[in-house]
Amino acid sequence: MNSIPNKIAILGRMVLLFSILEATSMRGHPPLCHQQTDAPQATASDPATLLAFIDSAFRTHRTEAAVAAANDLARRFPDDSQVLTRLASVMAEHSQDERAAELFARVDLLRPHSPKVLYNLGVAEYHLKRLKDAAHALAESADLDPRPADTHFALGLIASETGEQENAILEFRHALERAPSRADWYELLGQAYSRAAFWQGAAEAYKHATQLDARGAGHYLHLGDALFRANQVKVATEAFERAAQLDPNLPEINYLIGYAYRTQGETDRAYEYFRRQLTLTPQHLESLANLGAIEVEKQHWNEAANDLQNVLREAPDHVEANFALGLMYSRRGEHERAVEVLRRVLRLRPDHLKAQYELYMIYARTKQNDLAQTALAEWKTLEALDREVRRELANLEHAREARWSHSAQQAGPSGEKTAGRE
Amino acid sequence: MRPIEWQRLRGGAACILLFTAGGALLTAGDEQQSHVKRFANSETKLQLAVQEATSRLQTDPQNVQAHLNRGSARLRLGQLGAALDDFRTAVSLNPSSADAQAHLCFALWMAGSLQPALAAAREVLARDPDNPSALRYAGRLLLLTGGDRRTAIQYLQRAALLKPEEADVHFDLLMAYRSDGDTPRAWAQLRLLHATYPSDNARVLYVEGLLAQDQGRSDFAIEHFRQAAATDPSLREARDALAKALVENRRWQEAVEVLGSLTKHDPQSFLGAYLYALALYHVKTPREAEPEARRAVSLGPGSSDAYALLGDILAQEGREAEARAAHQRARDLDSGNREEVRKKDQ
Repeated sequence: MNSIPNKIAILGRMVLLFSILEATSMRGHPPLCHQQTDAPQATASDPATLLAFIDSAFRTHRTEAAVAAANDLARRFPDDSQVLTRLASVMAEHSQDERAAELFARVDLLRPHSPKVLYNLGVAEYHLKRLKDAAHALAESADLDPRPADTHFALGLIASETGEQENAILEFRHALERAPSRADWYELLGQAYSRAAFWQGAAEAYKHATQLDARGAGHYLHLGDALFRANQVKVATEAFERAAQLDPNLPEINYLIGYAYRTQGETDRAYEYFRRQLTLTPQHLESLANLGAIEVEKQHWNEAANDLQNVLREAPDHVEANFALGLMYSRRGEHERAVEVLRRVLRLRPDHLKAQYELYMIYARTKQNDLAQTALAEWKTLEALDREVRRELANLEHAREARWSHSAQQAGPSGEKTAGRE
Repeated sequence: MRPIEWQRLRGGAACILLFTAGGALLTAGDEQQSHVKRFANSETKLQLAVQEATSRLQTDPQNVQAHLNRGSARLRLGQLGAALDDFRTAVSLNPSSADAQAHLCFALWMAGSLQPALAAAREVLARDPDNPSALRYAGRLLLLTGGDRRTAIQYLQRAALLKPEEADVHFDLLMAYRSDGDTPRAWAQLRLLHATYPSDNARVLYVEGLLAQDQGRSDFAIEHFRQAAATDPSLREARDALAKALVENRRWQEAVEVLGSLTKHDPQSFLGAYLYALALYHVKTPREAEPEARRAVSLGPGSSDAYALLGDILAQEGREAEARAAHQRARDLDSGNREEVRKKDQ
C-alpha cells in the first residue's frame, strides 16, 4: 500500500501565525490587522502611530518604508519592552521573521523568563528554520507556563520535523489535553503515531479527527490507512469509502478501496474500484497489476495478459505482476513459460511463498518428481520462515502496544479506550 | 582502467552496518522531565548526564550505576578513554554485573578493540545467556571479526526474540543473512522492517537498495540509495553505496555530482577521494582529476588502485616520467599485496 503524504509543512505557518496574533492580543495590544487606510506618516513620534504606519506600509507593499520605520522605532525605544514586543509582532505578522526574532530576543533580555515572549521568539525561529533555537525557546516557555496548548503544539511540530517522534507524540498529546477540539492537531498526532508504526494509536487519533471534522476527507483517508495496517481491513475499507464520498478526487482513493476489498476476498467489488481508478489514471500500475491478477482468477486470459503486459512494459521487475503472469501460464498449461516467470519472481523476492508453491505444483503436475520434491522442500522452508516473520510481526506489534497504549488512551479528550480489533 | 573492487578497497569491512542504536525510547521518567531537558540538543543532554553522574559519584564513589551512566554519556560524547575508565571501574566494583560488562564490551568495540569486545560479550553471555545487549554485540562482533556466521545469526535472532521493541536488530539480521547468502531470510527481514518503519526511512531504503544490488538491479538500487541519502544525509553508508553504484555503472556525470558533495562532507575518506578522481577522470580533464587522485594516494598510500589511477591521469597529461613512477609504485604495491596474501594463505 502506498504511503500517504504528510501535511505538517502545510499546517505549520498558518497555525503558528494565528498563535502569534492570539498571544499579541492576550497582552492587551490593539489588533494589528485593521490599519489599512488613513495611513499615518513615518515622521510621527509616538510608538502607536509609528506601529500603525509600519503595519499599513507592509499591507500596501511599501516594504522599504516599513522596514526603515521599524528600524527607526527600534532605535528610538531600545529598552522599551512593550514597544519592541508590539513591533516584533508586526514584523512577525508580515513574515519579517529575522527581524521579529531579533526583536523578541531583545525583549527576552529586557524582560527575561516571559513565557509569551519566549513562545513568540520560538515561533519566529521556527519560521527561520532554526529548529534547535526554536525548540529551546519554546521548551523554556512550556516549563515557565505549561498551560497554553499552542506551545505544546509548536514543540510537537518541531519534534516531528526533527524526527523525534517520541517527543512529538508527547507534545501533541499535551496540546490536545488542553485543546481537545482541534481536529488538525489530532491529524498530526496520528501522523506521529504512524511514524512510530503504532497503527492502533494512529487510528484512534485519526478517528478523533473525523469526529471533530466530519467533512475532512484526508482524516478518513489516513484513518483507513492506519486501520488497514492494524489489520482492521473491513473498517479501513469503510473509512476509505467515506473519504472517496467526501472528495472523489483524492489521488489513488479508488485503488485503495479496491485493494482493501481484494484483501477481504471481495474480488468483484475490488475489480470495480480498480477499473474506476484506471478511468481516472489509465497507467496506474498497481491497479493494472491487481486487475490483471483478478482476471487470472476469473480465467479471462486475454484481458489478464493485456493488463499484466502493460505493467511489465513499464516495470519489468514488478513482483506481483510477474507472479500473476506466471500463474496464468501455469493455469493455461504453458508450464515452461510459467516456470521461467515464477523463477524470475523468486529471484526478485526469494521469500515469495506463493510463487514457490506454484512451482512445486507445476513440477508435480508434469511428473517431474525430483524437481517437485526439491520445490516442495523449498516451499516448506519458506512457509516456516513466513510463520516466523508473522510471529515476529506480532511481537513487534505487542511491544509497540505495550509502549503506547497508555498514551493512546490518554490522547482522547476523555481518555476513551482504543477500539478493539476485529 | 581496472575495474573497481569494492571489497578490496574497503578491506571487506562493509559487510556489516555499524548503525548506532536509534533514538532511545522515552521512559515514563523521561516524560516527567522538563521540556528544556527533553528538547536540549543531544550534546547538552549528554553533558548534563555526565554532570549528574559525577555529582552522584562525589558522594558515593562506589555507585556502579553512576559509573555506567557517566560512561555511556562520555562514550556518546566521543570521550572513549574516559568512558572505558568508567566502565572498567564499574566492572571492578561489581565483577558479577552482566550489565557493566556489556557496557564495557560496547566501549571496547567502539574503540576498535574487536576481539577484546567479543571476549567481553562472551563473558556476559556465560553469566547471563539471555542478556539482549550482549547477544546483539556478540552477534555483530562475530560477523565483523569473521567468526562463525551461524552462531552470530543465532545470537541476533535470540536478541530479537528477547527484545522485540528494539527493531534495529533486524537490520543486523538482514545484513547477516545477506553475507551468509541466505537471501530468502534477508528478504524476510526486509518485510519486518517495512512493517516497522515508515516507507521513507533512510536505512530501510538503503538495505532494500543493497538487496536489489545483489540481484543486479542497479537502477533500482541507485534510486533507493539516492532516496536514502536525501532523506538522511548523515547516513554515510547510503552515500558511499550511491557513489560506488554510480561509478560501477559508469554513470560518471552523476557520480561527479554525488562524490563532489561526499568528499566535502568527509574529506578524510580514501574511498571518496579515489572514486571522485575516477569519475572526474572520465568526465573532466586529467588536470581536474589529478588533485583528487593525489589526495587518494595520500589518504591510502598502500592502495595500488590509487597509484594506478594517478599514473593513468599523469600519462594523459603527457607527464610520462611521473606516470611511469606512479604505475611502478602500483605494481610494487600489487606484488606486495600478492605476497602478503600468499603468506596469509600459508
